[in-house]
Amino acid sequence: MAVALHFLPELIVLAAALLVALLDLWLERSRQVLHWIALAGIALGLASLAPLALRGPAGAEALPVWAELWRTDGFALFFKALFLVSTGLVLLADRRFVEERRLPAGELYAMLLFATLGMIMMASSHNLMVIYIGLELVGITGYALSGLDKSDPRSSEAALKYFLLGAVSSSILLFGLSLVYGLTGSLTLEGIGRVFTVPEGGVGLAGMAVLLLLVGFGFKIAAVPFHMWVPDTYQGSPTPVTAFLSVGPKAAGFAALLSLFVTGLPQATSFWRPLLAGVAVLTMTLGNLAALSQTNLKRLMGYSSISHTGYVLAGLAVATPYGFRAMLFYLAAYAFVNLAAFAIIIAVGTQRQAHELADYRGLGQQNTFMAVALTIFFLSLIGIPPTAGFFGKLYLFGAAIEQGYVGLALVMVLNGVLSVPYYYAVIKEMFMGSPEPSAPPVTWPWGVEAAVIAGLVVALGLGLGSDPLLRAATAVVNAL
Amino acid sequence: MSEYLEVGLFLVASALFYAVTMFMASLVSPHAPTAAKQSPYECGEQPVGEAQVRFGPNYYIIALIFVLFDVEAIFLFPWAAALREVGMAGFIEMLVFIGVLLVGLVYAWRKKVLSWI
Repeated sequence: MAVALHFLPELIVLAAALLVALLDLWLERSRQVLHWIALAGIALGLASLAPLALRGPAGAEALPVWAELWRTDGFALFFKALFLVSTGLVLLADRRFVEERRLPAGELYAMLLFATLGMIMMASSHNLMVIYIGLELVGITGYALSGLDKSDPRSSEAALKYFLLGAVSSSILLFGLSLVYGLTGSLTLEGIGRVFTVPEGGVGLAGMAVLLLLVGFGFKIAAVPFHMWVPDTYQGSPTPVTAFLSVGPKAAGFAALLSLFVTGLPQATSFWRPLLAGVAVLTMTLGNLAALSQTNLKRLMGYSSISHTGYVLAGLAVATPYGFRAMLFYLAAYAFVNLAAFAIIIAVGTQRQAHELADYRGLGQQNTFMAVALTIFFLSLIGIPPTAGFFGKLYLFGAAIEQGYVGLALVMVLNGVLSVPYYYAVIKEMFMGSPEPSAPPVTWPWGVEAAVIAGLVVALGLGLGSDPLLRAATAVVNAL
Repeated sequence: MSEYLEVGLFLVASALFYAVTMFMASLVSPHAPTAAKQSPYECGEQPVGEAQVRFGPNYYIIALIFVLFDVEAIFLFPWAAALREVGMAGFIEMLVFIGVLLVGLVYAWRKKVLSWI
């Protein structure tokens, strides 16, 4: 049983996914049952993390299963909790949307759970094969999820673009992984870390391998210049799926990237550090610049998520414990705030189909609480105190400056300013405009309210007292 | 790198072998084409229509399910050979694996993938 404890979240999520897929065949009418099973699976999975988490970051690591294949250390537990909570928030917010749009509920919930399974597998695996299996599980379910609304041609377009680019990027990544294996003769991250180096001066095979890995993961986390699929996929997918894609697979990609680069390629740090810094600068700037001219909120959030990828990558590029700690903090804050903002977008999109900025005109008059909440989430995404996003950016700046990357820190600050106009455009529409008489009123199901309140607690709670999460992130990074 | 060199040598040698044999065959073989000789070989049948015809998408789903169970068989063979070594835990793991695939089959069945439309 001691061993089973280390696989418990995976087993629970797998069982829930299979149960939902099977019950869907006979209970097509009762979507609510499936919804509850999916939520229960996520909640049980979260609860099953507790016994290991209570042992502390060091205690959890003291029982490694198959030492170099599967770890349930603090790092894995942190990311597993993050992934499970993200999927839970998506599930909370999407119920009414699924009913209104007549989406296949069983398939949606089962595939969300399968994707979550892949994500929590990636958090634990210290072996290239297991990481790749997790990555593909997330990818393939993601392609299917984005094409779930068969009545909408845009949804099929989203799925096709995501699938084609995802498949190409997977093969590039696989090529990189095979080069790493060929050079080191090891599939475990620890084994690779002991021998993998990039020789000074020349790129060579080792440098090629790092480049290919960077390109492959760049697609998964949507970093510039590998972001081309994002706008169309985010706009075309059913909104709950967009919400999921903007957080879950992205954070899972970061988890794998972090453990791969930090545990597997630490001796090549001086090679990949400037590369990552360059990609981070490009990603932030281009994401923000492209977001400025968007009028569709889902597309806008797509570009905004690209720019946030850039910030998190900057933390990895700094490549110090401070940088990694800031990364974890930023990712956690981003996940909650972005999903809570998406909960509101889902609720608005349930009644108003288009997701244009004009659909948000006068929301402040119709429903002040939700408009204020969305404003707070956007302030957090910009990084204005006293919100969680401000501290996330602050720690990232601090880490960059501490390591002497003043230029990188400067670009981050400038990008913070650059992101203000497009978020404010939405806020302006909500409060300054008056509602269109033809626009149907927006209703707020309890799930959306719960997700919004969770987002508010995190956005403001972490802003006023960021210590607990920061302490957790520090402990996780120290144990890395 | 030397192991990869052997693979490369094999590639070059097999390509050369093919090229040389074909070249020699073209030198010595008699060349007298007729219409019947140049038509596509379909096991003695007369070819009908173009080779590039449309296939029903049904084939694709059936093929997909076939590949799934083909892969399952690939995993079953080494497992069966090593059953004594992997013991009870391995047996249960394989049952879980087959069970998961079985859920997939039931799913495909209920969704009427197996009935020909």
